[in-house]
Amino acid sequence: MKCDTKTFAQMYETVYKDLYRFALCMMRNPQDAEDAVSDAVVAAYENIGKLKKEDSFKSWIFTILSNICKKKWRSAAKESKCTDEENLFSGSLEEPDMGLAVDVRKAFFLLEEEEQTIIGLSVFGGYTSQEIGDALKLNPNTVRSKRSRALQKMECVLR
Amino acid sequence: MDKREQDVLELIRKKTADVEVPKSLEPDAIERILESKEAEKEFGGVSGKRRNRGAWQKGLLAAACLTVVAGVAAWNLLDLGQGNMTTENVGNNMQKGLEDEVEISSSKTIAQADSYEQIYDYYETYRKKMEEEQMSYQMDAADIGRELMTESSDSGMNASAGGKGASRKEEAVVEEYSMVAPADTVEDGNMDSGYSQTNVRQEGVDEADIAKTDGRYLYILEDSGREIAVVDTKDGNMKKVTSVKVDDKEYIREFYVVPDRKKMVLVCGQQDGSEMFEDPLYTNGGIGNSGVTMAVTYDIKNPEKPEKEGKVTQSGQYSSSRMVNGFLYLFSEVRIWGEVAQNEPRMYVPLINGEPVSEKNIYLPPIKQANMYEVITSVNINKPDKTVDSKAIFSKGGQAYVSNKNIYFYETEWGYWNGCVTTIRKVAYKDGKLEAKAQGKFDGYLNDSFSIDEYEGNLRVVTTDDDTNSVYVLDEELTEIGAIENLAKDERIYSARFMGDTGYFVTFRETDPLFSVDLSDPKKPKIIGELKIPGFSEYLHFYGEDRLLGIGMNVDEKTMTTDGAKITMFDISDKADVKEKDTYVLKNVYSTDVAYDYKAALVDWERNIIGFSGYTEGGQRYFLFAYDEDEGFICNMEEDINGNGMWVPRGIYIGDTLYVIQGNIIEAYSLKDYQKVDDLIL
Repeated sequence: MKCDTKTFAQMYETVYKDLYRFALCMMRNPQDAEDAVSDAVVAAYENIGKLKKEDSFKSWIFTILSNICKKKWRSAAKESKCTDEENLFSGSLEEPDMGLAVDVRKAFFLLEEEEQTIIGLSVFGGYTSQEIGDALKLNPNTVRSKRSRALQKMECVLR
Repeated sequence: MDKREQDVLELIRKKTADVEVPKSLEPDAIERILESKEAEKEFGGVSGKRRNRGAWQKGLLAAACLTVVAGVAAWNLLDLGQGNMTTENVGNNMQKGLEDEVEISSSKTIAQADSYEQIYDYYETYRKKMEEEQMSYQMDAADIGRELMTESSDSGMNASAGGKGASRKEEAVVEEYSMVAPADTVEDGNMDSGYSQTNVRQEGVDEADIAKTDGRYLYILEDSGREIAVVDTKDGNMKKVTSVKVDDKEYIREFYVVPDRKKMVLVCGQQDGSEMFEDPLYTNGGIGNSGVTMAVTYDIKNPEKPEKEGKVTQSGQYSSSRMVNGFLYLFSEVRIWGEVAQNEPRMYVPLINGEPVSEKNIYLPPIKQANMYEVITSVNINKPDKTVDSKAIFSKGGQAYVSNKNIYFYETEWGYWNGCVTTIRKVAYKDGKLEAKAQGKFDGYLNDSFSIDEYEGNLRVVTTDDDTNSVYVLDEELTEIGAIENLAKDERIYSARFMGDTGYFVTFRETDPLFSVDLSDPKKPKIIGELKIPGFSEYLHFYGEDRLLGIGMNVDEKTMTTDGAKITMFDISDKADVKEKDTYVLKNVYSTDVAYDYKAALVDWERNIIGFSGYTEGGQRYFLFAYDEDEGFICNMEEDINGNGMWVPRGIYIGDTLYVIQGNIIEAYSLKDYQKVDDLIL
């Protein structure tokens, strides 16, 4: 579709809060979440010509955002040498000003990367398992069982 | 998705609702940024590139430190991250048709494993394939990354995946149904109707539930998931007389009450989120954290003093169960994770009562790759500490439909871009014995277990494939013998129900065609009727002779949005000319539980009771209808449900009293004047 900055901003307005929440849950750090969203916005805007219908905007930009989060994770994992597990659970969790409730953060901690994406897309993107399957190239049945497993893990922390 | 899962999602939503979005991401700020980018482009765009790269790299650096924070998941990433992004398998993987992607065996016989090595090989094939996919997936992200840096616009961002997903949105009004599938109806339900029983998929095949009765006592799974309350309803006063508790870390998922054998069987799972950190198997791969499912049997000769008699265990998370003639059939789902060592079968073979399932009891999939098992065991509830028989169906994840003689395990192979095939494996059961019978396949996927039905040895299915729908008939060997294809283009099946020689199914896009299909000649199924009415039915239930009840949603024909729940009575006396006899729209109800949990339905035509719970702006309500041939639906009761809990409410009647159960609150209503007569907090 064709789109100027104003139209884009209008479409963006309907989804940006969810985009940010999604990114925050995935990246867990406001700065990274912000970067991820702005990267996604730029990528989406530049590729808007490939989007066929305005209706699809939300799931389209979510797919881009989740790819970007994934990419950032991968790079992070590759580049990072610090795997001090002590930090995982004690220090970092207590860090203030994460912008995200502690139990939600903990709950996301329990998940594997792919599970996080699935849950994030379900909660913030409103995706069905079929759509997640399409976006992540997974069998929808697999999505369902992964989602179910992930939610069970999270339930333990969130209750 | 079940209620419990939806609740967790809702909880996350709630807890993140007040997250503040940074000012820099506000729409007007974004608009300004985009505008300045446009301006830069006009002037040659060099600075634009630079800034983007800067932003991207900053992201990487920040993300590098993030590993500390995100470390739990990082061990997976470390593996995957090493897969360097070679381009070969990328494009290939994306455009291939389903047939190129997988090879489905055409053998009619279910293969048994010869050795654990064989299992290992199937799993390794699966794992490698997933890695390839991950890599191609990584490429998509990498493409975006590159685009950010170079501003080239022709490399392939995976926009179509998103777009395709979105186009399905409208159909997603009803999401998928619970994993726990199956049943034919209780069309005539409970003959000696002193009390109601769990609404099941297949008459004669009992299913577990979260609330049961034996005609006097109510047995209720408390909201903690740890305890079953036994409530005496004698003389109309509810009184909790005892409760059955499980050990720490065990959760009751569902249970059975078998009054004629004086048994209660608890199906429990064991799990604890925090433990997985310490579980070496989880981090190293294997089935370590797939959980444990167990069946614990109690004697309830005296329901006020249940006595524990025995217990069996198996690997995996509970997926479903059935009870037939005093035999429990317990289904659990086991997943294999990560890397496993071929010489350690315990890492990748499910355990039954602590012992690995033997090779010959593992049924290989028709596609030579797999990462999951559906573990099926049977228990004679009179000898509840022994497993009679056990099989593990090796797969990539599927569901089961249980007829009166056979278990059908079906799983769908999804094409990336179009088309899907469902493979099906048939395992006969009798008095606890399980035996592989046949395997087969058909195009499309099943909406839920009501879309698959065994009758006189043949199997009938109604399927959706891309944007068309089909009816297939398979014989005992699961060979296709009859078909109708290309039905209702651009629509999708919403509900289905079979009775004898006739099948009914609802598709939906703008109106609700209820199709009737004549299956009396299995080789030549024929569509004999098509009734179009607004809205759609999500659940169908035969209601006495010549009547079919549909519970679903009404759709406003102007706006094409749902504007309330509806119940419809179809007149099916003339199968070729089905009529909409009566419809009742509940304007203020935006969804019903029956749509995704058939056990939430209380339908008994002999008592003339139609009960179900729904959601209104003001909260959850229970509705009770009667049906009159002349006056149509009569709403006898619409009451707020005051309980609150993880599961879907249940309505149970004993004699002239209706019990509405939700969470730890039971509310009792008279079926004579529909007034509230009692309540109890557990």
